[in-house]
Amino acid sequence: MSNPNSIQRLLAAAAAGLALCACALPALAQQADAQTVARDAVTGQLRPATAEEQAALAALKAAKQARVTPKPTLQKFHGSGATGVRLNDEFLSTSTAVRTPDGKIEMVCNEAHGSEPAASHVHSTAPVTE
Amino acid sequence: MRHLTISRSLIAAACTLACLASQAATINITSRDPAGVGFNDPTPVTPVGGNPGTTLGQQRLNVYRYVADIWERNLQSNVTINVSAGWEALTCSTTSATLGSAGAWNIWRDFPNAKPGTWYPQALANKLAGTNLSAGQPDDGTGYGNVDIKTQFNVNLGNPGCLDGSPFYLGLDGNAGGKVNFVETLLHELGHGLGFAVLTVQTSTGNRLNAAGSGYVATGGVPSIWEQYMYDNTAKLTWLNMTAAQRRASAINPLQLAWIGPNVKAGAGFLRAVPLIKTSSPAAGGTRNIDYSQSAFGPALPASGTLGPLATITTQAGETGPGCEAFNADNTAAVRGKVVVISRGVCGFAVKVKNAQNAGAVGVLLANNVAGPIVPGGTDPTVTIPSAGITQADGDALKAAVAAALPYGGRGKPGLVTVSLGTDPTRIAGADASGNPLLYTPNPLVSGSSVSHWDVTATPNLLMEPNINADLTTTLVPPLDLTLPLLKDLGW
Repeated sequence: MSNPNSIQRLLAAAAAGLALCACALPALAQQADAQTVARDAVTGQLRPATAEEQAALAALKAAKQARVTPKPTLQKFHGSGATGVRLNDEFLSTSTAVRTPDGKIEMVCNEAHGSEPAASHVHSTAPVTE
Repeated sequence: MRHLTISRSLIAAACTLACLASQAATINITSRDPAGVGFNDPTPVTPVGGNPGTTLGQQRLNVYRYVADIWERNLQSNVTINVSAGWEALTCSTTSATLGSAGAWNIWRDFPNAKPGTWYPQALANKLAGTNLSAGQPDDGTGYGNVDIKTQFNVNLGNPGCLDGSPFYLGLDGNAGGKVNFVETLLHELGHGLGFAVLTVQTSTGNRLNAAGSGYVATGGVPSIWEQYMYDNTAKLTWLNMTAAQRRASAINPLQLAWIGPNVKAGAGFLRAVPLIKTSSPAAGGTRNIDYSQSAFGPALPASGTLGPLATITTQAGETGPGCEAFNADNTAAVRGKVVVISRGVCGFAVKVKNAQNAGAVGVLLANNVAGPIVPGGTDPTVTIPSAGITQADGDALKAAVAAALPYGGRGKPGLVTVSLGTDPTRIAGADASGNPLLYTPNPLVSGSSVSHWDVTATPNLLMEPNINADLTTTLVPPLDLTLPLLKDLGW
């Protein structure tokens, strides 16, 4: 009987749409977790996941746990005739911090970006250095 | 009589609004964190800066409550404001981190007492409508689909690999030191969630959110409550009356997009005059008033007083660029005890200033080598003299003034141009010519929307500038801040 844990991880790998490229495949990690498998894009066979693949899966899992927010907005209506919308994370403002070489911490708020793809960019407030 | 009826209706409506607005706001904070994480982190900590919590989770919650209390004291609403809060593993590196994010989680249009056909953030919409518009709405499966504001902050900040050694400062006294002041960060982000954001306009395109809230459209979209007060001094239009293309252009029209709401205008009198470098010379044309940008390194220029006589340097044998190498004997003699003009180019601004400092200069004016202003960046903690960026044209004029003043000396002493600091009483930093505070419209628009902050030139620093500065307070009203006046312009 298959280990349920293996099945879960296999499903997770499949759900993540993990595509493997033979030309870029790193060597299998010596200490690869044998419980995590991936389907090789070239051979179609299951094999132990590489360390990089395991890391990618872990990141996906963490992201999924951290952000369960559905992407589409959701329309709603009120008896008064009002129309509302539940927004999503793309409408949120984001603050970031950077440590400069002299040890200072600079904090900047980056506004909501709507559906723009460049949502993680930072304002061009940094002065030129030369 | 019809006239009397209308008058009575208006009075009744006004009374209704006044009554609705008479109650101090209540803000509820609901955690999304699982056991042992975030607000529930049991790690023992020592009380800090007035925060009496003895676990990390409790201290985090105490800051949330402290900041919510500040907002409660400043806002009126008879509808509870609901904030969903969580601590999550956000993007990090050793030297940078996403601190967190926040914003309005629901928006509404065409509710009672609303401006027709206009998007409002839910907390404000509820206040104006006098009811929770999301009450009774089925949840979207997340458990927080109907809240007014959603927030999340970085649970790993300060740990190895996540802005190492610089966690959130959870004290309430502002003494953050080398840590990240969580009070100011949260105060700022909740401000966005309460309505300090254009929110439903995609500024990279100028497009508005459509009537269903499902996407941005170039035409036929629904305006944000912000747009009526966003006035572009070039286009002579508010965003409300612009096309998408005009809004897109306005968002990257530096120092030209003003907020013209009456509460902000009335409260903006505390913004200070534009600082100037003033030169005086015995020669014609050498007496000038010059705009400048403070360098990001070294001490700030004083607000007033004399800085010293002005000097220039000559090209040194074998130099790679102006001021890029240690000054030779002639240049050292020329700049000792003086303020030296050095042109931009080849090496870093901090390198030029350090070389001037080593030669005995008391200040440096860094002249651009192309048109336009510059903000000299760079870092060097050993720089101890002030410096500032000026335009190429001003730099050329100052160099000419130094030469023109030479014949005006006497008894073997050459004539000098003297540099002092002052202000232009006719111009307000961070405001347009009419005194309306400016919104932040940098060009190029690197990050998409930028207009939902005050311009960075405002002095003193304001809570809702994009940079969360170290000198901010928790006061939201004049003469320290303009956050609350803007929210009042919206209807708060």
